[in-house]
Amino acid sequence: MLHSSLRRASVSITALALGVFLIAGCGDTGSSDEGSGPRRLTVQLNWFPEPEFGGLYAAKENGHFEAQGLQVELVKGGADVPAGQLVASGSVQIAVVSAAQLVTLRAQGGRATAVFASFQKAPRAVVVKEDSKYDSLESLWAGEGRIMADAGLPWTRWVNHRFGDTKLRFVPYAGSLAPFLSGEVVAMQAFATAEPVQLEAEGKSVRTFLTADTGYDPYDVVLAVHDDLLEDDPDTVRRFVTALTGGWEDYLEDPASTNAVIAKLNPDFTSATLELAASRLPAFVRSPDTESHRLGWMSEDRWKTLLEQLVTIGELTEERRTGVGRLFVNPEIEPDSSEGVPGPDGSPGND
Amino acid sequence: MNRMGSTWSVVWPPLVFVGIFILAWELVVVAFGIPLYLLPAPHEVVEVLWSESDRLLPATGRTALATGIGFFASAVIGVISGSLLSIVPLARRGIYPLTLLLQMVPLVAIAPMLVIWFGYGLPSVVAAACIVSVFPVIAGTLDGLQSVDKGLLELFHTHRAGRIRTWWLLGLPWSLPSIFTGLRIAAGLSVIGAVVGEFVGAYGGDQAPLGSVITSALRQNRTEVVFAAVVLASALGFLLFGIVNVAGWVLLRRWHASKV
Repeated sequence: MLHSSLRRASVSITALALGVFLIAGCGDTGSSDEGSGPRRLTVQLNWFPEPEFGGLYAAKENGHFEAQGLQVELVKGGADVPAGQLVASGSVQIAVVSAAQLVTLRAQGGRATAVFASFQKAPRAVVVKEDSKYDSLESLWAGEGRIMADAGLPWTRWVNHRFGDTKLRFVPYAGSLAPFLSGEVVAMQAFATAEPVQLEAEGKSVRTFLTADTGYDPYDVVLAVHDDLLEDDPDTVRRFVTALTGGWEDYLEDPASTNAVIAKLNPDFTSATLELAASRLPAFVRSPDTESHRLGWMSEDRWKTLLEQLVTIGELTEERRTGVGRLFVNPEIEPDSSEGVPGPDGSPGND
Repeated sequence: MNRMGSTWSVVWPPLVFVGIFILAWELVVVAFGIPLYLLPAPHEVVEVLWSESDRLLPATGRTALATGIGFFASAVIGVISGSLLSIVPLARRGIYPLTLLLQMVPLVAIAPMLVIWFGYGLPSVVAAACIVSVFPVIAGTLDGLQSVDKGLLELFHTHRAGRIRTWWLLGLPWSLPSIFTGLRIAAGLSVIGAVVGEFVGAYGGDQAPLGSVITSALRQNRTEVVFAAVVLASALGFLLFGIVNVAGWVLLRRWHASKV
């Protein structure tokens, strides 16, 4: 565990260098493989393979992408893989990003649009040990000690805004749980469906404080597509979202086979841990919106609230806010995949 | 007058090239409409250096402290180890090849270990700076001591000077030029070591040094802040290099041909 965590940390640093290199060499790779055969898409994840990408892996493993005429490659990320920049610049066609990241990228001229919100409730959280004296995020924020988190991210600034500037000292989180386990840090940032579950699986009881409960509840895991793909080939995007919706439905219903795949890709997770994590997903992935529309559906109000909050904490200037433009679309999906794969624009891809 | 003229002749060529480079960079960014998050224009970097100086200058100070301590430690450890290796032949044959490992160790891979061994904050960052910068000093010291004029060694020998005395009065002064070559290389390396150490081991938030500013800014798509921090880190490297050069000049100017 310790070793693999360390390896992850070092891998993520290497990824930082690699990511910068990738961006530097960016070009327009938006459209590839216009010939016959399945349409190829690359999806850049923003973290190691984990349950929050369950729908993507399920859509791939269970043939939903294939049924839509898509050949999708899922590229794993890490602490410093700049997934947002990669998709905003068109170096990859699709990436998993946070809504806040998408806003700041668009404000700087980035060209990417959200098409699917995997998580309806933000899973962003802070964990402390069960025997900690802190029983809420507010009490922790008033406390002292080290927290393994990034001080500059919007959620920490929001919490500062809510509870006052903290005296906690921030140390970097590069993917290793070791400093938390050894007590070097009193708290760490987390995804409610990942780290707390890993820690519990190791026999460490923790308390999880969701930032959503402080009022900061954006779409934290969205699939963003490069604008060229969305504008030139909306049908491919529609098919992608259709397949992804199917993938998430599968994963929520029966995650076992997909978990086996994720466990193989990420040795930090065992199948048992993944099973426990998956059991917590429905609370985040389903919402009244997904009941009345479909999984991944996004509401205008939620995006507006995020913009206001980003202005409040100074992440976004009023001036730039107006230049953000289109942040998301909700592509119409095929109501039932049995209707087959449409190709109105003549795009090949039926199999 | 002549002296000033010669200084100017050293200074202007790099300045002109830096000027051309910055101008070309600015033109490329404007001409191709490269968005800020991919590559900021030089004027945007300068703007952020100014507007966020209240955060960037203390960060530079923190990195300078770690770099300075790390470099000093490298200098002391490097000269002492190089000398020991020179004085004890068995150690030279047995240990010197192993010190090469310091040169080859991928710092990014062991940086997380440094945090576990030394704890967060200054100690692990200093260790990172020292590990990557100590080898050139060891090599420089050893090379210098190995190349001491045989005739002079004979002279010290006939006067029955002991090893320590010979080292202090002959070997060390003789080796100063090559020690300073090692120190010049170590100056730049210690900045790199400190910044990489900060990526994983330093405090963030309002106690952030340049390395933490860089990682945090990368995650927030603040590319102009990343560049500003890189400019400041480079400036630190130049400053330390300059200090080493001045020290070398002061020590060597009276008698050595290689004086800067």
